[in-house]
Amino acid sequence: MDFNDSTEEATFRQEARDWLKANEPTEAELEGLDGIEAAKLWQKRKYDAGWACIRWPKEHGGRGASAIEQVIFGQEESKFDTPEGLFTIGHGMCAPTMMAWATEEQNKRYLPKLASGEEIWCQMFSETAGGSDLAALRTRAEKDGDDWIINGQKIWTSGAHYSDYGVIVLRTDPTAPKHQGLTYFFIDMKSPGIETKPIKQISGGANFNEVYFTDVRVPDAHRLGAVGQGWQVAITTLMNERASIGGGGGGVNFKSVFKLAQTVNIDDEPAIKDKSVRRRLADWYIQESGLKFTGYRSMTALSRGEIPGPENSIGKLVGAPKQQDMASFALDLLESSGAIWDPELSQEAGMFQATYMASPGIRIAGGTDEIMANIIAERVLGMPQDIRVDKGIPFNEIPTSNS
Amino acid sequence: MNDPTEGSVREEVRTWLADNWDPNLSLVDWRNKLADSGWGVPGWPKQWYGRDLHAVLASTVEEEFAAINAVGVARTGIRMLAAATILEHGTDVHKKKFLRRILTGEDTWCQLFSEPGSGSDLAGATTRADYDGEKWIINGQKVWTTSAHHADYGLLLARTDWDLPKHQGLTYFILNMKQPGVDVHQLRQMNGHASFNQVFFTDAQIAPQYQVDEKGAGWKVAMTTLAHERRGAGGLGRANHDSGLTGPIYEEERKEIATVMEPYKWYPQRAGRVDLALPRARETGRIEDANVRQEIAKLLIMSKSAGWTAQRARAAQEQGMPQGPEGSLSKLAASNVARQASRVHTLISGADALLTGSDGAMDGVIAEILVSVPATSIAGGTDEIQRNIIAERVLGMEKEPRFDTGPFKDVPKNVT
Amino acid sequence: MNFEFSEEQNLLREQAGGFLGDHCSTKVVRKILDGEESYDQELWAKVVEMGWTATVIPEEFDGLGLSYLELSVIAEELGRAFAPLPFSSSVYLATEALIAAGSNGQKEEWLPKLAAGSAIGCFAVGEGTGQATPKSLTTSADGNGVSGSKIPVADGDIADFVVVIAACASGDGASAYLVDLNQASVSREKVNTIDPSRSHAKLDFSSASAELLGNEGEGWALLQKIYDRAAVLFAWEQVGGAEAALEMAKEYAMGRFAFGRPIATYQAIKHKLANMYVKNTLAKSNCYYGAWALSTDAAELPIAAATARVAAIQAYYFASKENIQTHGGMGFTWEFDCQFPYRRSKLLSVNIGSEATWQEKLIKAIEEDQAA
Repeated sequence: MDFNDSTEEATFRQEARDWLKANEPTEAELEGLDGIEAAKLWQKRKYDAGWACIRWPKEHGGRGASAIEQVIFGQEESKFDTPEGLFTIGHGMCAPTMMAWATEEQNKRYLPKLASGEEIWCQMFSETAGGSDLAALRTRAEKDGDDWIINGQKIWTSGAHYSDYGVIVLRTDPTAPKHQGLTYFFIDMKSPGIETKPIKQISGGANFNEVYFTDVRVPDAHRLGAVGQGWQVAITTLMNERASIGGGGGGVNFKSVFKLAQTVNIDDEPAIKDKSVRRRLADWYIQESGLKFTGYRSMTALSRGEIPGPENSIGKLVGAPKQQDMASFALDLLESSGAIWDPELSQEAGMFQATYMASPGIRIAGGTDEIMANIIAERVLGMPQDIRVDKGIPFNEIPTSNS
Repeated sequence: MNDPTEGSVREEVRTWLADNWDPNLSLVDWRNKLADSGWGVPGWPKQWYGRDLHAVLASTVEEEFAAINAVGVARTGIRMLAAATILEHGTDVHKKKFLRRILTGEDTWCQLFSEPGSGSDLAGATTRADYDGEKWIINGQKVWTTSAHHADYGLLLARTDWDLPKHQGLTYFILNMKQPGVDVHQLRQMNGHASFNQVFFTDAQIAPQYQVDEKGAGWKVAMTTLAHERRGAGGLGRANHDSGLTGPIYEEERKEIATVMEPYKWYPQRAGRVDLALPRARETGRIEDANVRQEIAKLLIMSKSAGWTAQRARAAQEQGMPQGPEGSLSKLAASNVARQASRVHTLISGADALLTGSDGAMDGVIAEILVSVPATSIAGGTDEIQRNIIAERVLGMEKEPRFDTGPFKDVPKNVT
Repeated sequence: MNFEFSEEQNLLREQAGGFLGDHCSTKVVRKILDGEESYDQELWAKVVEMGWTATVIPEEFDGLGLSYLELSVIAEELGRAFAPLPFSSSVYLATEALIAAGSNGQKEEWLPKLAAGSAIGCFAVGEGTGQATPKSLTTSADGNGVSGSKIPVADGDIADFVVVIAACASGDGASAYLVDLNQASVSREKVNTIDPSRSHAKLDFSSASAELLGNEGEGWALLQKIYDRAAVLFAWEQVGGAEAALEMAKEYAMGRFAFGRPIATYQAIKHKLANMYVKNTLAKSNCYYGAWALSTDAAELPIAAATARVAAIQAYYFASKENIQTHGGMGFTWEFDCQFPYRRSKLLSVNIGSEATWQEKLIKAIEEDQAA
């Protein structure tokens, strides 16, 4: 047991590191660019040198690299302060779905531009009435010659306002049982009849949109999978979502709360001297450590050319509530000043407050805590599915939420 | 005649006690006097050993009994649940045969509801009662029966119709426990105590007149019994007077209570012994540890707020409000308190908490807490069931979809 | 990245699991729980024969000289089987103490016997209620030997020797002493515990002849070192037990019907089991880290050990109590097996310092690491 790379892995890591060092965008290059322009610049540079979407086949704009190489490149890239985030959904979810379901011509047309960052993609599944019960969606598509006509509304779509294309699941047959009446498409986001509105979240940010469709036409050629097969296609996308989200990433972590406990006082002593503070910190440390080493176990499987075990599925379920609890605890440590959320006045430029406010969303997006627990119970432990009261019933007869 | 007032009742009972209370009587003789006079259960109907008094006035009577340390009727075990059920659903035959001997304590009762295959799902009972033209023949098994090994009668819920949906196929009976077809086995818990029994029926018999209420009304009757149980009528039967009193009638009563209390002697440990947390922390010096202090604080907050919630519920009931779902709230709270208490005791005692018996911390009481606490969140309705009750009855959330509404014989069930 | 056991080690796990499945069913555990025997001697003989007690003992002392990864694998399986054996006392504690601090003579005398299972060692620190600290120790040593009482001592009633942590002869601090238990000036008495499938004793020393183990006054430091090492192995036992508890709960939930459907279809039950799985997985990954640190003598062992230990304590306790809850009333009976993980989880969690002790050790180790 060791944490070392194999010889090939080490060579690859070095190569990646050297390239990143030499090609990292300079401040001068990024001067005056907004977030989207900066991300596009960096993505194009990686693409030109063969470092974009490295897991993808070469003919689709990738490098044909192995899974472990992808992990290693990700690790190395994360050490640099490069623009990120813009392509997560397109690369992580839309592309794998295209590869599995689109025609070869379509993949040749769309994937390289996705890899190069020239085109941005988004994902439109959720609706106000659905939520965790994705298949309850109601946005309609009706056949009209070689086209389909879309009417309805999607919600929680990240980046819809700057995306060029999007994948979408639509109800094409309301009389079929709910999972059977769905069809999957990809659409041009610039089509007439699409209107996007940002949603203001409790954290103040507006990363998500509502997207309205009024008689939007999409050619039948943009259908992925058969009519009525949309649910199956959506599963491909979702499996990739759950694999690519998780991790945790930024925000409050053990290190930041530990540091805070060293700087603020309880009863005139640094909070870190308080035994109950220490105990809680210990618990978070072991959770973070557990996640980290669970990741190492999965990486080992990748490195051996195996598929990682189900243990990887716990990341989001553990990470999201942990962040929320830690942020809440940090605000308590700050006493009354914990209420201040101001980049100038707050500790760590307001990161604790920002995480506190964002974490309810993290516990919901990409599968709620409850859905993640169901997935573990059913797919990992092999427990039976919940008894479904909506199975086999025509969709238009299923009781629905008020919306 | 005027309606009785607190003053008139107080005066009347005082006079009667002055004339009749005699600590040298035998327990049964004295209680027969209580039954005859109606002063033992003044809230009961006049024709059945009571005086038709309102609950508030009945408690005035109790106060007068307590004031002179007069012994009351037998209230221990589940006798009072049996009595309440018989009063509400029983025939005159039942009332004549059973009520007096319940009050005198001559008969002991047990409750035969739970089964190995239906714990949370009480109405899923599969113990069967078949009518052979003359009598009911009982076959099957019950479990978690306290006192079954010395009970004279049992309150039995059995299935009489397998083609009806499950709640409609049950009938309620009074079963004579002292007969050949009834076998009682003690059930040992993992904390070593054996407080409960399994009861096996092999062609046990019940005469038709001991059916309670209509055939198929068993669930409704059982609900009456359970409602009285939740209201606390079961009671572990503490005496209403000082423990130091001497005299034959007190000795007899103490013995009666001790017999009933025997299975429950670990119950205080099951509840976590919150009372011991602070004294133990002080005695061991662990009170200086900030962790211990915080955990004890958490425990006391939980325990106090549970206490206050229960008090509010009692106050509401005393004002005549219908019984709410407070039972589920306090049951859940009790589970949380017990678990936290167990945590606190482990924190205080360390490895010493392992030792049982006289080797252990507080003669093993601490170890007994650790192995008894898991029962709190199961017995009398699991935490999961209590949460369902709160969600459905308090918050008004929808019930789980049901898959057991068809004929009972077709409902998927455990093989027992 | 190679953060996984080797093929040989995985094979060893399979063999160990298979062997214990055949020879250490819960019936065997129950026999010890219900009976007078302190441990299963027949099973012990077989375990010794398989060489498990010799795993990490160097070859020069008749051991197998294998790594702590192999021992971790064995620990996990022993934990899964709730094995009623003095393995942790003799192997994780006494053997480790000798390897860490024994003189060559002491090693020569005891290690071959420990390897061959002909001697069983145990380890004595606690003296009754509360946390033991160098200041709280009343057991002490002077020119005439060790005097005082230790309670509870795991396997103290059947061991051949004990490593005692006692206040120093010279006054300051604590020292470790090796005491032969077969002498008149030691009396031992079996004590009852919440887990009678593992025996414990009270040991009384009255000027018992004793040899210093390691240097005078370094007993407390030695204890920390041994605890750090043992914590990893205890954690593996705990994780094995936690996985067994989850397995038990799952099997029951799939077969038990309530309200016309298996209780495994209720989310209240599914989420309970999913939470067990999550805690078990995190604990296991932390145990990997502990095993790596232990097997490579990494400087971060104190952090790795505490991390594995705390995570395993929490996971096992959670899994064992929720397993009973999943079983309902019958889970609380003597007849059912739910009591084994429940008893064992608490036993293992207080045996070498409780959760709070290890949480404190973890934060202290992180502080030290940061200061360095």
